Amino acid sequence: MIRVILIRELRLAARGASGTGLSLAFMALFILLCGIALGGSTPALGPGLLWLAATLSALLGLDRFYQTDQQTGALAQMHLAGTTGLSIVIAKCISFALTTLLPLILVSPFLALLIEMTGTAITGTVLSLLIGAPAMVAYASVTAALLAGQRSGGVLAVILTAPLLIPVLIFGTEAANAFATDGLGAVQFRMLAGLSFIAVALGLPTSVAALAANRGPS
Amino acid sequence: MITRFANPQRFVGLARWLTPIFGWSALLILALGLWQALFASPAEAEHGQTVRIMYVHVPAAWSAMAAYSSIALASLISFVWRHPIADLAARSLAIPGAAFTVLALITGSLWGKPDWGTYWQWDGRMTSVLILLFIYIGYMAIWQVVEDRKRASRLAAITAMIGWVNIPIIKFSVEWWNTLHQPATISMPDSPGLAPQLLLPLALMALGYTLLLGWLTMRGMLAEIASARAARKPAPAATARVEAL
Repeated sequence: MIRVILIRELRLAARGASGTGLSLAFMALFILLCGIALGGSTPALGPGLLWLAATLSALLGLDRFYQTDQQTGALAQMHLAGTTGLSIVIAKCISFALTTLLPLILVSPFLALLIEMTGTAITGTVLSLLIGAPAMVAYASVTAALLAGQRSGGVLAVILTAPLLIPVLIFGTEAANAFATDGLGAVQFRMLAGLSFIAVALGLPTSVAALAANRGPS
Repeated sequence: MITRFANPQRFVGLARWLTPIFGWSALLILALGLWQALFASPAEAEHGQTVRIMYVHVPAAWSAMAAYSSIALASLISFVWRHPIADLAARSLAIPGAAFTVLALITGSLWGKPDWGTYWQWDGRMTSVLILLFIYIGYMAIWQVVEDRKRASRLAAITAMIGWVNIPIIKFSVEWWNTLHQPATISMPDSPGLAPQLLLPLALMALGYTLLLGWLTMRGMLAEIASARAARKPAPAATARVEAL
């Protein structure tokens, strides 16, 4: 069942319904604005800026996580078809990672060139983003599930997710900076991986509970 | 205990006489504590007169954290047992808790300026209290935006619980990040090592704040019950029964 939902999501994304383009445009715009506001090339701030850009761009696309399917009744149909809540959440998380977060991470090396980051810094940042991605997806899923019944929850989504993402942001940027000296074995990378595991363990059941609360007769 | 007070009527009966006790004793003890803190107690050797900010600041920070812990506990009870009173308690604790958080942040900054020479320091404790404020805001926002009352209570309980689990992680990461960026330059005067003359007003203020928190929460819960009753359209027979009670 996970595979079926996943194929559906990827097909929707291929037809342009997932808004990946908008998120990518926002991320590029964010880096452009940072470059201008901070006075041109700012290689030292690079990892932090890329992390911020990726996080905020991913959070902007949050209303397509569950909200659309909740409103069209697709989630209710999946539930009626006997899919467990956990399968829905896992499938949705994988598709969010593939269609929204992964493209953002993949363009980040090119955006890094705009702020004149060095090769090692770029590699470190991309690796830290990849390792932190599960945490971002899991917490995004929690917030999206909480707000699934809302027509618009853009700003609230950011307010709810940001405190949960602060540890990930801290260790993500630290890991990106530590990559130049310690490589992948840096303690920050291990912490980041640990945070990702915690986030997945917490986020999946919480999302299931929140979706159930949004589905049930009140 | 948990099931006994699941009945709002029984809870209202208890709250009717508990609320004034909380209110008046909070007023009395806060007045006594403030007099002790601002006039009767001596200035501290190292911090001088600025130590008086502590009596307002430290209990505010304690109450803010106590309020959030209570919200998380009440949310758990409400989520697991669908306990209506726990639900009201969690909701009513949020605004006083957030207010205490703001008070702790403001007085902390005001204290920081004379003592450390800066209003804000990215110190682990200060940063995590600021993050706590945003967790409070998110929690209250869920109650605001979700229209359906029961759904809102489930979703808010989930928000409170996941926030609670994350607080230690956030605190740890912020402290780790802070020590990495700047060597520790600050040490707060540790409260247990305080002289008895300073400890007495602090203890009074802490007790007063706790009672105040209790009073505000009870008032909030009674108001919630009253507005829920007003919203409900009672059948004639039911009205007669409520009046008889």
